[in-house]
Amino acid sequence: MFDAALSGLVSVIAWPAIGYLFLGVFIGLYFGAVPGLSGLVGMAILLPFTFAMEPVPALAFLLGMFAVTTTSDTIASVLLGIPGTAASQATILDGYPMAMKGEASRAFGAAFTVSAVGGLLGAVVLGLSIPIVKPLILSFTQAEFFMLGLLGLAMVGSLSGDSMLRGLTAALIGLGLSYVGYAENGAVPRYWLGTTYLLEGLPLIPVVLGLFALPEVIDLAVRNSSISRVPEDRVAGGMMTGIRDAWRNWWLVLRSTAIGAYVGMLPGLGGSIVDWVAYGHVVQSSKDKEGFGKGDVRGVIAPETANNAMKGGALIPTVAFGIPGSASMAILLGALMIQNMTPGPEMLTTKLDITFSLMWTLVIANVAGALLLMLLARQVARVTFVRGHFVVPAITLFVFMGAWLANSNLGDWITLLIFGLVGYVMKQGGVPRPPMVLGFVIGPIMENALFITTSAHDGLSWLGRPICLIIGALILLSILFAVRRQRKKKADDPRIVADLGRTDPTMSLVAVGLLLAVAVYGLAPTFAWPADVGRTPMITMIPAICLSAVALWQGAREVRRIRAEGGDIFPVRAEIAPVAHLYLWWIGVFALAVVAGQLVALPVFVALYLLVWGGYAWWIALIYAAAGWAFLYVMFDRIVAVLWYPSLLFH
Amino acid sequence: MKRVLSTALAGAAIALVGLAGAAEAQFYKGKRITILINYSAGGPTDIEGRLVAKHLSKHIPGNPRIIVKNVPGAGGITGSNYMGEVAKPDGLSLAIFTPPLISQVLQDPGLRVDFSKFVWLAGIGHPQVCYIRKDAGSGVSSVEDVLKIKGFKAAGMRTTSSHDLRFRMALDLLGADYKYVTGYKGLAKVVAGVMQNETQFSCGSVPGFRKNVEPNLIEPGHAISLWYYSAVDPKGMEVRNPHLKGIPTYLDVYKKLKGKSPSGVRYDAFQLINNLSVSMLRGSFVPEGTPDEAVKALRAAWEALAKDKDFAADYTKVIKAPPNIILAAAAQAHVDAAGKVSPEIVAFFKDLIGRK
Repeated sequence: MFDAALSGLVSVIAWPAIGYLFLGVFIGLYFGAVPGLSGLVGMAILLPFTFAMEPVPALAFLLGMFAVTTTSDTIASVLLGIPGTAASQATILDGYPMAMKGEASRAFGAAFTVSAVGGLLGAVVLGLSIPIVKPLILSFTQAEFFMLGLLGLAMVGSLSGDSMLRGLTAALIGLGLSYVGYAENGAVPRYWLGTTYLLEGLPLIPVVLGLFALPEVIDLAVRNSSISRVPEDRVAGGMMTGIRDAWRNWWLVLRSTAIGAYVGMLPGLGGSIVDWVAYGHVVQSSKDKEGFGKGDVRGVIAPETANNAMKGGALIPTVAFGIPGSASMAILLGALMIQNMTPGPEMLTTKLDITFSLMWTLVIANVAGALLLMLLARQVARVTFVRGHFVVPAITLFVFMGAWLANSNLGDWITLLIFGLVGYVMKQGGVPRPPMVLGFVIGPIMENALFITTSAHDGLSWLGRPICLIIGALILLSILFAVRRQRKKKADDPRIVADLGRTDPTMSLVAVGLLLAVAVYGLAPTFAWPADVGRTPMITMIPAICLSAVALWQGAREVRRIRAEGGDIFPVRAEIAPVAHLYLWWIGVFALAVVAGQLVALPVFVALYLLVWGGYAWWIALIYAAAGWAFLYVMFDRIVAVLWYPSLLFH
Repeated sequence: MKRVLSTALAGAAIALVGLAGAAEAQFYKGKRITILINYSAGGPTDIEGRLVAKHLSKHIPGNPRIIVKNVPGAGGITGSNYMGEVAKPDGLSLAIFTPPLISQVLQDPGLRVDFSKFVWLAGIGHPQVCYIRKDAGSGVSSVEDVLKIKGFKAAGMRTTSSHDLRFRMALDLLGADYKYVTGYKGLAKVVAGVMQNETQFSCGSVPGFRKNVEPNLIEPGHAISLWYYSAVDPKGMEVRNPHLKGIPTYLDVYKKLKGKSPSGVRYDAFQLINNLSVSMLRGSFVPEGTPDEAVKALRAAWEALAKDKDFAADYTKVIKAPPNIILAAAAQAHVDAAGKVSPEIVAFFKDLIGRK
């Protein structure tokens, strides 16, 4: 084994493999940093270039790119509150508040350090666990997968925000959103509203960008505040503080690495829940929990360690059994096969050196990626101190392009704008959004696992499987913990909801009412569907109706209480008109894109926004718009070869 | 004079051929073809599609740039609808699919296109091998034991997929006692389920069998291969696959266990699905209305590809079996056959699916 490890290392640091590895790292940093692009898109684009390459350089190129996307995705999570990839959702909970406190640099320092350490140790865990991998993976059948999905939902539902009731409701509605389109087990379309677009299901990236990014852009535009609410000269901790934070919490880093590597091994599910499991772990194991959700650096350290450590783990089922854990791993699997390597036991025996070369690639890429980002981060973090009106055009451009990239379909822009409104209402109303996204991501996996499990086992006997029992116990424990935590808090603070201290009671009613309406709408047709198609939506919507009804009742009581005390029940009233105004502008971008294409519409928005909303001089608007156009052309048209909308004028 | 005339005619003919060639060359010069694949990246359909994508361009006059796009979903139906409803007939959208022809036979309401309306270019066939865990039921050491054990679980992907229907009919014809478990997303997940002993029996086309089943189940001694499905030619003769020597065909097994040849509507239905998937598991086509010059160029490219040694070498390296390409006329005939299934057989399929 030692020989194989050594020859694996030698093959990676030999030319040209090392050159391709670094090229991959540069590309990966870009793909991770731009919301909407991801490791998956990168893999799909780079794969054809590797056909003609030798195995080690080809894999170093792909994996070097893939390894660092979860390092650079921290940038969007911290600066904008947008999850760069599904694996960095939990980072937002404390990362974005840190940016609001002006501590973006500190968050970066900590996140990049632990990303490197987690990625490195995760790869080592991969190397060390090769002997025990097989029994571990083989013991997780579909039944265990379903239970793990439940655990993920329970964790995120009870952890994000302070209202567990709302969190769980959001998670259930997220599951419901994932059922849109063709049912996997019966070719009956569900919730498709009669539009072809929805038959393929709701697209992930526009939904996520709508829920998370647009509400932040609205804030920046309507209040014209910088992302950091604290001026630059009053910020204490910089990048070095963050790096010291990381070392001070070395024990947490080690635990999060273990969580990342082992949860990452579970095909399909690992990548979506690993950040939540790590975040849940740090909250539950810390004595002083008060700072979480308000910018505690440990809330950044845990998920960022785990999501890089996960990549080592995710390689295992792919390489050892040919069971890809994610779409990206499926592409890597394709690359392995094109290189004439058969995933399976031989990758752990005769071709062990190749497996080790993958491990070394992860190690080198993680360290190199983190160092490169640290050099850049100080400049990038400055964005948080810039006036809102100046950053809104750039973020809008990124968000709209991000939503466009996956499918090149205008329907994705409609989805983006609709979920932007939903996200705004949920944010103002204190309903946590991360559970909704997690439910949306793992919904199909859970439905499929449940479907197979119920037909492969008699009745509910599968619940008695040992690992299912253990996971079941963990689910109960995490809910109990959360209930107890909330009780304690209630004793200090009679207010039920406290999402960063600003929840609008009226918006809260609107948001919860919206969830209730969706749940009722979702339940109605399930009775007419065939059992295999209707069962999962039914058992999702019934609890969703119950939970949201209770939440609505609580919200109404809250409104009555505030009114009785003479408080303001609708503080965001003043914002409604400007928000509607901004939305009209975005609809204008949509309309102009139909007429003249995105290469015209987006730069025009940039220029007009700066002139009208920002009050900047015409030459600033012009330079900014030209830069925006050049960026679109170079980064998207030339590099990614995006398919633009065939507009009426420039078809 | 006669000679002059014939020379002139020959010259004109050459010029015409040259012009036609030039027209085709012009058609694709500087253009970009999008190859669409109706399953997700990394799966067997995707790997084959990308292999073809890599080699096809050099056989198309004008050497267009080729990019690959996956339109997965609903067992291949999403991509099929896309080709019929969204893709433009401009010669720049080309499908390399595992066409869900069975969905057309079953009149699946989700399928909104008619496969025979597409312009077919070629197809690729694959035999499929079935396997079972040795510890299934009271133990399996040879194919005879399959009929002795009770309640083993057979793993499938979708009730309406040809993969599931075929093994259910094959097992039913033999009279095996099994439980049908379906819903696995892709053959790799099926193999994982069999490795975990969540299920015990399934089948896989040769690439998947070579890459997943053999190294993980057969070679370590957890499972044995039972039979493979061969195509049957119009005369009713089996077309044996030289690369699967040592594994009996399903008909061999049936005759051995039952002492006679299978017959009846169930067997007719079985043979219909079997012929479609063995001879044309993958199919390549362009939307109805694609310009003739594009179709001509693409069909010629597939013909050249079938003779391309580099492609064959690459393909064999990745797929572990040589390419088995059928050309446009044969592909179109297969698709037309799928459109003319007797109501009796359709009713039989619907009944089988309903009995899940």
